[in-house]
Amino acid sequence: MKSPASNLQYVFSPKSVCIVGASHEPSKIGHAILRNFLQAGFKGQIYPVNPHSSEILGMRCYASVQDVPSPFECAIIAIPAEAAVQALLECAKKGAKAAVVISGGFSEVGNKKLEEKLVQTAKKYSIALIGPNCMGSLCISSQTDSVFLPTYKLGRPKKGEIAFISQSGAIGGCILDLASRYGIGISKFVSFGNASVIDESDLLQYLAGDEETKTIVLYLEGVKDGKKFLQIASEITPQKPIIALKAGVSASGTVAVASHTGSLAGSAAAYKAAFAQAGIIEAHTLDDLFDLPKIFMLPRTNGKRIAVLTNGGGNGVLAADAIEYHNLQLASLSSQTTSALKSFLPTYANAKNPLDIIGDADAARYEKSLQLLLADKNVDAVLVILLFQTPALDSSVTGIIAKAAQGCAKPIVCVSTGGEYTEAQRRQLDSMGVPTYSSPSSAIRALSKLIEYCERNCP
Amino acid sequence: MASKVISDFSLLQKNRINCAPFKLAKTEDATALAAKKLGFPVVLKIVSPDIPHKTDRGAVLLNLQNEQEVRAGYKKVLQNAKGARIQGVLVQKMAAAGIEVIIGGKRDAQFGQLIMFGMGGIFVEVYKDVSWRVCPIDKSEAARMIREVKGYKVLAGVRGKPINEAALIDVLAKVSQLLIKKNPAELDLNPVIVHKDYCEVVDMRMVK
Repeated sequence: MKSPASNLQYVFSPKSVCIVGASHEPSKIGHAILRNFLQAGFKGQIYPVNPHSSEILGMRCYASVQDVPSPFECAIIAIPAEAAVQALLECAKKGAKAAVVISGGFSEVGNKKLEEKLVQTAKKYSIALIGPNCMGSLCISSQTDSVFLPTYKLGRPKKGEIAFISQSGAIGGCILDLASRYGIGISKFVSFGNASVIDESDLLQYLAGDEETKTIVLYLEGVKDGKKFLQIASEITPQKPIIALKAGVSASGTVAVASHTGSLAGSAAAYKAAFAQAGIIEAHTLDDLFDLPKIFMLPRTNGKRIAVLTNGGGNGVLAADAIEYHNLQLASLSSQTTSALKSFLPTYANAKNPLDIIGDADAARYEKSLQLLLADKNVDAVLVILLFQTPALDSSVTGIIAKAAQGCAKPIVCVSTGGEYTEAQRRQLDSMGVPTYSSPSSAIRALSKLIEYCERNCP
Repeated sequence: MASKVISDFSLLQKNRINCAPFKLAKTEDATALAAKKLGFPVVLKIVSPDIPHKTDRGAVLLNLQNEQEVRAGYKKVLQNAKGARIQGVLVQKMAAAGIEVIIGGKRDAQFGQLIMFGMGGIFVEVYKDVSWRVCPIDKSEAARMIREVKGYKVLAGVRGKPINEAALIDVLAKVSQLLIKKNPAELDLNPVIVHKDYCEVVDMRMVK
């Protein structure tokens, strides 16, 4: 018999879906899910099910799962818990290979027996069941969107190479919304709730084999099976970085986790240990969940010699501090680079690292300097600090940096600190594939994680 | 159910984990004889399931220099342990001064046995300067554990000569095996004293 996990592809790229609990009422979850499938441009068959409607959003609606005229691959179930158990069985009989059970009211509120029924059905029919008590899943390439939050309230990210797995729906929602705002592309997203059938380790294993996914980000409150998690994660990290945030590491956080997902949390020390052993990059804050993954879009390097290019001295000093703090080195520029820099920099600029090309630097001066730094054999990576507040610097520099980064074997990381104008430039750079940060310290911290990863895995 | 505390050095010995030489004695004469055989100075420790924290009860006497002191010490530790179930007195050769580290273990609901390493004394008490791993660990993982703690510089030799890191790594790997075999709720090897050419466990307690 096939395992439920072997059918995970039907969660992410089904040819047909049945939405149990589809609704014509815009305030209902079942309405948002159907609308999202339509808006995402899902190419397969959609079968809405609701006993009280014959048509929703222009789609023919069926009174029950039994009334659906054809078999379907994936069921999205968004009805109360008791009815969800029966609906899953009916979907199984219609040939469903995957199910996303949004409904809550199971083990997380002590209703373990009801959840057990759901699990038994899923296992009997080898259904890859996500949830229950989850927020849905998303696959950009297959236009599958069962996330129950309406798109006008929660943006959907563009296509990219980062997969997000979240135990919590709320955190998952924030992640999606922020990724969309910062222009960070994702491959797949899944909120896995109670992990009753498909757990975090199954998802990791699936994503390990997913060609669209290059980096995996995980928000965890507890794992279902510690040993399995450690083993699977250890096998994946040499090929694909895993960045994980473990919530509930304090005494009060642990209690909160127990009542949230009902999972036995295990001690904070155990997670720290398992992360270290598996080579998982540990995130400490929500910000880390964006700051750290985007650095892995860059070429791999385990060289520690960093060149800093800036149009403001203070930021260069902060960068130098951060470089030392994170056990990296300020690169010593070669004499060729230094003399080439001197040939065009104003006499009041110092041709040394950190390279301050002065507040009157324009995009062209950035371009020439950046090219020289990238060509220097003593430089392993370049941090470009852009103070967009100066009159001479305009947004054309973003295109210049993105172009330099293309096909370049050395990582380029940017910093753009400030208000709205600056933030717009930061988003522009991020969306062009140049990881950009709001401070020298956050940029260097992320870069240090890339280098640490490469030291362990790319000797 | 009350947890069972065990202080059994033979368990370490069976698993080829080096500890300060010891003998278990049940009478005053046997204690004196054991001390002579081990060589002075020695330490006396009450072995009792009822006294998990021996120092607090005055059930440990350090640095006894001769037979006379050992005989007087025997009477004293027994007196201090009055009312507790006594399994005997552990006579242990007083360990030479070195760098103190601790090695611990803990059963975790999710990951099974965890192993901990830290620098002893103030480092662990105040700074909580420890590293953890999930068992089993191999020698390279043990080496990473040791290098992860901030106090590693002390081991690597800031002023004094560096210690025998290989011996410490070996002990960690063996303790990891012991933890898997016995699956205790907790294990404390504290202190483990590290020297230039060897390291030895000086005190241990295991909670079943």
